Amino acid sequence: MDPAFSLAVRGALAVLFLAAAVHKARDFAGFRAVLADYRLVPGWAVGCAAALVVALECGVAIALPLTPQGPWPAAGLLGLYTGAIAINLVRGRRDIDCGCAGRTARQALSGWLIVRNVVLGAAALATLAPSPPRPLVWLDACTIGGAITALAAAYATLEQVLAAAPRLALLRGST
Amino acid sequence: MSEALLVSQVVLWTVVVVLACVVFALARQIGILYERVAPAGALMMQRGPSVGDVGPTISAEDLAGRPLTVGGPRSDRRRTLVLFVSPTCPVCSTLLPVLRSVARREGGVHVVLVSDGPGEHDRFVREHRVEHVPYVLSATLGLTYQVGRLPYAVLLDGDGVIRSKGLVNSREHLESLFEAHERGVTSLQDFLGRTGAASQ
Repeated sequence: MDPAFSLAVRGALAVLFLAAAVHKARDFAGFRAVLADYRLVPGWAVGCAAALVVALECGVAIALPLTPQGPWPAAGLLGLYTGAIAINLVRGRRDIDCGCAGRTARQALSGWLIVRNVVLGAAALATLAPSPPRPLVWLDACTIGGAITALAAAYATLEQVLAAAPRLALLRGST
Repeated sequence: MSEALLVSQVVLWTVVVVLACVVFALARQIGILYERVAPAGALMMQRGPSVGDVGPTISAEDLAGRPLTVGGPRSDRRRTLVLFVSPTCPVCSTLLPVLRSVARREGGVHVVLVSDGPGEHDRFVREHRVEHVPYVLSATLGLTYQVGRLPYAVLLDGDGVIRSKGLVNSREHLESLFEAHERGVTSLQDFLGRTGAASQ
């Protein structure tokens, strides 16, 4: 994969992980409650697990653009989330908050979250594909910067759209 | 350099397609919002005392026989929502739970239910858990306000002045009475007419 393309994807994913970590750290008590709601970690360990998740997200955000093997831990973390969501979907606990984007943008668990995580993970791993070396010129800086900004904004918008979807469905259903 | 241009082009198109999809999703949501959230106001009948007049003060008794005055200035300055209902009106039954939540949200509004004629008023009150709301049997009230169809609501302010009134069939209608009062218009139809005229 072309280095500029690869850097743009890694950069966008790094922004995503950083934003997720900041959301969780700013409302740490809320995130602890969300994590406890998943019912995967024993009660006494929830605090530690929550802190660990935030630390891992920060670490992944730094490693992604800076180290060649950075996509592996990113995909691993996404896989972990996907597993946690899948277990709760199987348990039928669809109405708990996914904790994806802080408490302001509450989002219930759904199959879509699994699809999203798989797509994000695949995008991260795709940047590992070897690329013919090419000197990066100033235009690449524009491409990478623009792509990261646009993708991050589009992603944030999409999250809002999906968070609003069930409420809109309610509106549509009420007569 | 030409390779960088190619890559830039591919990235740009990818981003354009992603953004176009997001814009499409947003446009759809706006469509639903527009369709559903268009303001709906209580239908005001041009009969009975009009908005801005001081409403009649009428003495009546509630179901338990306690005397009660509807209308006129209130010592606690609270607004009064007079809702005309009947046990035999199906829409009234769907409106009572809504009334509870609206009254709670609007805070400090004194609610009076008015009905008349024979009917299973006690059972109606029990069934809809509105025992704590004064329930008046008075034909005079309905005649004074010239209520033709139910459920009909009148909002009085602390001085007993009629602030809004109309036929209320849904939550939106009921809320529109408070909205009309807060915006200082006689009814939401009046408000929509005014803004419509202003935008033309």
